[in-house]
Amino acid sequence: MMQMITDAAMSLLAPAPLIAIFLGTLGGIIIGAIPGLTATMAVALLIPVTFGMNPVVGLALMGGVYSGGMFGGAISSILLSTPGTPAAAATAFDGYPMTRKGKGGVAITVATVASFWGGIISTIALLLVAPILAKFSLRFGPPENFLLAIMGLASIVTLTSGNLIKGLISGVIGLLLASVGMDPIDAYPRFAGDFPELYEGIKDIPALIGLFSISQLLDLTGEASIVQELAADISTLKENKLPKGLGPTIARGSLIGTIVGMLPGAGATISAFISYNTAKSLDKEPETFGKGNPKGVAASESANNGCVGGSLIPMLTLGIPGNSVAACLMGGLTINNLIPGPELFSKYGTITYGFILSLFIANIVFLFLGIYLAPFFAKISTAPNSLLIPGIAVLSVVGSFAMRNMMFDVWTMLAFGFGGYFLHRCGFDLGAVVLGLILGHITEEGFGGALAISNGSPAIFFTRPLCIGLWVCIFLLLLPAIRSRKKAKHTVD
Amino acid sequence: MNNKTVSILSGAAGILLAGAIYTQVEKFPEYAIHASQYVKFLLLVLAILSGVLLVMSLFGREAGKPTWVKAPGHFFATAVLTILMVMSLKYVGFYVASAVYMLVLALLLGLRRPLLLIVCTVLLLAIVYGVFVRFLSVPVPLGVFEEFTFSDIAGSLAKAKAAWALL
Repeated sequence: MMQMITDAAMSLLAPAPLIAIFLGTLGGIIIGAIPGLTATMAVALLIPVTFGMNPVVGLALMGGVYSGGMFGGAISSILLSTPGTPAAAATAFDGYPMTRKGKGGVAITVATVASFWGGIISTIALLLVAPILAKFSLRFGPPENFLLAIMGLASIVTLTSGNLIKGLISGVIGLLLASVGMDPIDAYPRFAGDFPELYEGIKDIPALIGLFSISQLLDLTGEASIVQELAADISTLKENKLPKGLGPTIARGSLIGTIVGMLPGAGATISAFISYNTAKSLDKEPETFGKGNPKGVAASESANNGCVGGSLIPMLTLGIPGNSVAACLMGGLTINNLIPGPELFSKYGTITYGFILSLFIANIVFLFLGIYLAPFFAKISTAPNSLLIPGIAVLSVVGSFAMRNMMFDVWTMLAFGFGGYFLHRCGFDLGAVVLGLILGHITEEGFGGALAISNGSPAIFFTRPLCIGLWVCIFLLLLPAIRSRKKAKHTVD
Repeated sequence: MNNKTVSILSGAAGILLAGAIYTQVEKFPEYAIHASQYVKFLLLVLAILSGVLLVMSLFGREAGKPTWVKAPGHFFATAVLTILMVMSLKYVGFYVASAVYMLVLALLLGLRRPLLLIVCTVLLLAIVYGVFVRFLSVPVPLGVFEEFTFSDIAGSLAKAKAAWALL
């Protein structure tokens, strides 16, 4: 194995693979930062392009896009409250308030460093213990996936800063919206009306752009610029020093990302929410989350980039992709006659390890790019809103349209934008709506699939060892939030 | 309208919404039992939570008033122009609609730096063309300019005119 890793490292130390990694990562960051464009789309489009290339160069290019794309989503999420990708939705909760305080540069630096460690730790796991972890991921069935989604939904309790009942109602509204379209068991088109576009359900990206971007944009019409609390010295914008005490949050988030990332169907979004929830629950000052706590950014970003390596573990070892990008990458492997399984780590070891090592380099590339460019990115937040509002709206329109080339998605985005704006004004939590909308499909599939296995008996959720472990985790995550709410109520009384 | 009234109305609206959706679910065919069971469960939770919100708001104290719109003029200009821009995509296409939208809305929102506005508009549309259309092959709506080419501007405009007449 060591010999193959050495050979793989040597194969990467040539101009072509290094340029491919750099361009892939840079392209990934740009694509990730633009709402509506996803790493999945970019990797899928690169498959035919890389067909004629040396497999190491082609895979390194795609790996760079994947890593860069996952990080890039944080930039627009932090600066404009417009998540470039669904996985960066949780990053906006604290990243955007930091920008409003004139600390956009610091927020991007935190996101960069957290994403870097998330990527590095998950790639180490991929390099060293992939086969063992892949076997573990196979033990996750529908009941465990259902409880994992419940764990994500439990974030609503910690996420909601105001009225908890309104927060929970917001989550249920999200789940109901996710139920639109064909149900996963009977394939009956629910609430689709005369719109065949709704048979596949409400698409996450237009809804997310509407809820976060358009509603935020309408809110900004009353202000001159995004930055509200910039200190007298404008140089604070250029400040990008990493705050202290983020280590444990980043380490925890990276592990959560790696573990959740390798579970098929779960993915980066759910891991970011679980990590955010965990960080808030364990923090001594949970009330500072949602108001610009850098730990919130670190938790979310370390987890979503932790999914990069995690999602490749079952893909490379078992041929089961952890998410849609990993599925596209599997296409890139098979087009080069590299079939996932033991042979990838023996017969084709040099190429496979070369691909894994290229992910390390991609992480280093975006670390430097992110830290160096953070002050420049942060300047966007000082641009006049009269210029930003039309610009964001145009990007939101094209981003929504890009997913399926359908005007229906653009109207969906607008409907969610206006609806979200007034829901927020009524005191409802848009983060909880998004959480319900994104996790709704996994929840229903897990719930229905588990009951199908158990012939309708709900005991399946309480008897399997992994389920019991997950219930304990959910309880432990909820306990501090409930305690702090009781404490706050006592203080008010 | 104060926050208390908003919460009372929200609770009542939640119950009504749950009831209205329930009547639709009742119309699902018999074979779609799984499709209806899950939604019925969610509706029950929504109705209970909305009921709790209603009762808590009726008997609790909530101070303050919600701010619906901070700057009404800017808000309505943005909302109306955004809807008009999306509606016009079908007719004049993305580039024309976006360029007009950006220029008009920015001026209405108070930007008084025409050069900066024109440069930013051109730059943004160039990025969309470069990244979306050229690099990622993601099309944008072109409306009557579907067959536009720079090599034959006169011919393209004639085609656009013909397409407009068909609309």
